[in-house]
Amino acid sequence: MRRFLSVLLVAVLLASLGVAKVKIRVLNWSQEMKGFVSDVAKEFYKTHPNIEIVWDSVVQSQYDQVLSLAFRSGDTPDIFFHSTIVPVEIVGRGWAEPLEKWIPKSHFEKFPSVYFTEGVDRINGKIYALPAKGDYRIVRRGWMYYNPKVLREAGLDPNKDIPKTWSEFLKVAKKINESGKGKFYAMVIPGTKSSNIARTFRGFVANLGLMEPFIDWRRGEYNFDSPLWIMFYKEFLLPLVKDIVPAGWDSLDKNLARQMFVQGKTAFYFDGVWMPGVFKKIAPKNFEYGVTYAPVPDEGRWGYYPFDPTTIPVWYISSKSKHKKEAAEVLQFLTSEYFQSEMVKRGYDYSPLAVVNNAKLVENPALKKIIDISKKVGTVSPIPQYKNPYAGFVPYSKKLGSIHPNVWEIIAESLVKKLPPDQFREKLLEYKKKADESLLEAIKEAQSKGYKVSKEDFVFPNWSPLLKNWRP
Amino acid sequence: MSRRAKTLILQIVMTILVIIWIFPIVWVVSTSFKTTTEMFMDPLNLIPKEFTWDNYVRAWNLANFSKYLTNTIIYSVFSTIIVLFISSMSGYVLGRYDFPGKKLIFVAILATILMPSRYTFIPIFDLVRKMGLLNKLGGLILVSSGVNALYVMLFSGYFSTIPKSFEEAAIMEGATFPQIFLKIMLPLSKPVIGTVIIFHFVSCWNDFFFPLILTLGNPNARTLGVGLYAFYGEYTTDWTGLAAALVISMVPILIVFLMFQKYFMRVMAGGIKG
Repeated sequence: MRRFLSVLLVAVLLASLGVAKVKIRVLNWSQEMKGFVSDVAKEFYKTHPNIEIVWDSVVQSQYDQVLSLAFRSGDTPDIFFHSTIVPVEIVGRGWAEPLEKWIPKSHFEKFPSVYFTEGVDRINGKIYALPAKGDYRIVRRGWMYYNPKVLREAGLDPNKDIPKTWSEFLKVAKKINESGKGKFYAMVIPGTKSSNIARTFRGFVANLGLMEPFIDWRRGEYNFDSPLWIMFYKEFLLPLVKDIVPAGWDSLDKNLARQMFVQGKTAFYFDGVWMPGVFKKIAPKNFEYGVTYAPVPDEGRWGYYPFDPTTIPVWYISSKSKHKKEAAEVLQFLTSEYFQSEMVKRGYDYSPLAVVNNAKLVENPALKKIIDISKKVGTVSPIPQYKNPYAGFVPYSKKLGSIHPNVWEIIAESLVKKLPPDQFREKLLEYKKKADESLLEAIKEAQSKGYKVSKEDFVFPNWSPLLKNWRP
Repeated sequence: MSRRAKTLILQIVMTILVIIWIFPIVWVVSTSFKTTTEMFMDPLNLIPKEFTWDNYVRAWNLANFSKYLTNTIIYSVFSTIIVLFISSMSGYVLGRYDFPGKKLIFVAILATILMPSRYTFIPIFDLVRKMGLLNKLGGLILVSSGVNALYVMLFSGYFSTIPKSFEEAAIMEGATFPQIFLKIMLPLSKPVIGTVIIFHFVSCWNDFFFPLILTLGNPNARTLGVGLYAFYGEYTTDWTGLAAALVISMVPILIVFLMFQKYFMRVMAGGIKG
């Protein structure tokens, strides 16, 4: 009996040891993906029964503070996500673990090598981050969605009458408004926040070759003195606000603008590649929509959408994680062909993996079309890291972000007050002065930390916004 | 104008004010039964056209209500008990007795009102971490149970109005200092106790920031205030789910308020003398 009890005790002990799982906490701000992750993780658990993935989503507005405090306390997540603080800064704070020690070389080879350019996800020779989602060769923001039903109601053919130029857009928009008689409109502008002004007009700005980070790489200066800004304001924005957009747009919320679009109250809505996923959640079941690029000036395109690998969100392993080996296993799963393919198939996002064929896997017709159009309207654009790896240490975007009013706020204010183009120009020039100063300050800041950087790193004389085949 | 007419006008004005005051709450309840489409396209209609319970099902699951509700109850109840204990004792001493440094202590307590909590969270966070209470409900309870100037002033003001003869009679009967406080003074301060319970319980119930940052490493120790943020996604916000979650989370607060409203009303109406 005593022997039996001893065996039983050992068995219980072994069993309890066997089921003790290592919990890997993955901090992120994508609440939407929680169900998806728990579903696909079943595959991971088949080969890793000793690991449990804890998908911990924190609202984006609190995310940075939560992350800072987590590192202050030493009790950090094992893996964390980021897209707005660049890897060089995360590494500078000592938060990220070099990955090559934990992840085999073959895994990095699944990604396009541009991500591991020095100053992008490779810092001082070591890889610290892995792209999480999105493909830098697919234009992410600035798309024009249209509602074919509204166009048909306005007597237009959605296959032929989608406007391609500014004057075509204004003409079509006028016709829609006239046919709608207050029941439906061509478009609204969600004007409560500058970020929403940006989401509406970013595509137009890209077609002018002026898109973020707003640097004219030929000069290494901000582009706010470009006459194209004034042309855009005078020939498109002012007529749009005066004749097309219903009054009160400056107090209209983004969510309401989206609802108006899916309910057939507006014909056009401008936003990013994530909208098909949003429509799935908020639109009626029979909702149909199409997507294309934003209209270009009448004389043609002045630039292409820039392909920038630094804008792709990334995963890090925490330098303070107590389970780096297991965290690396989870990170490899999150960036595996299986996980990423499922993510694309189910319409959550595109995949950054070279081995995943986004065009083949994506099922949503709009997301398919976005891939096709991206090839036509996008191009590789300079980033200072291509010239000098240490340029990644220049916090120029952060400095520009702290200047207010920013360009979108200036556009919103000028449109609300219907300022003449001259006054709009003055405001932009004032902004350019501050922006250029902030760039020099950012360079000085990096120099003071010992990085050999200069304004020259921001100058690419052989670049032009109209060069389709520019290469670093 | 006759007195009756004046009363009628006053009643109409008050009714309008009540409707304006209560509208947001009624709107949240109404929205919690609407579809997302109806919420946006017909926001002012308070009676849903398509009545749905789906928002409540989603709210319960997404906000992890079953776990977070228990945590919130534990957090709010224990914190309220500790705050009551500390505030009533501090208020009693400050309201009834003179001693050297009393004014200084009073001013120091009052000064805490002027300090925005966001400036104190880093030292508080470090303190809780060093005490080993991070990621535990105990740490959370401790942080929210610190001295609250408003509650101390309420108790102190109340105790200072009670006649001295109450204490003198008790001393004559042989009561000790703790006995006088616990058996005579504290029962007399029910209106303030009720008010503090309502104020503090509601404050804990709605708390978001500290429950988030003090449970960073342990999502299971979080409270409803944090759970409600689960409805804010990366690209969309589930407004109707959020409305349903708000309605569910309002119920316990309403129960607490109904239990103590008699005392609360007395204090609010200036009847602090009991």
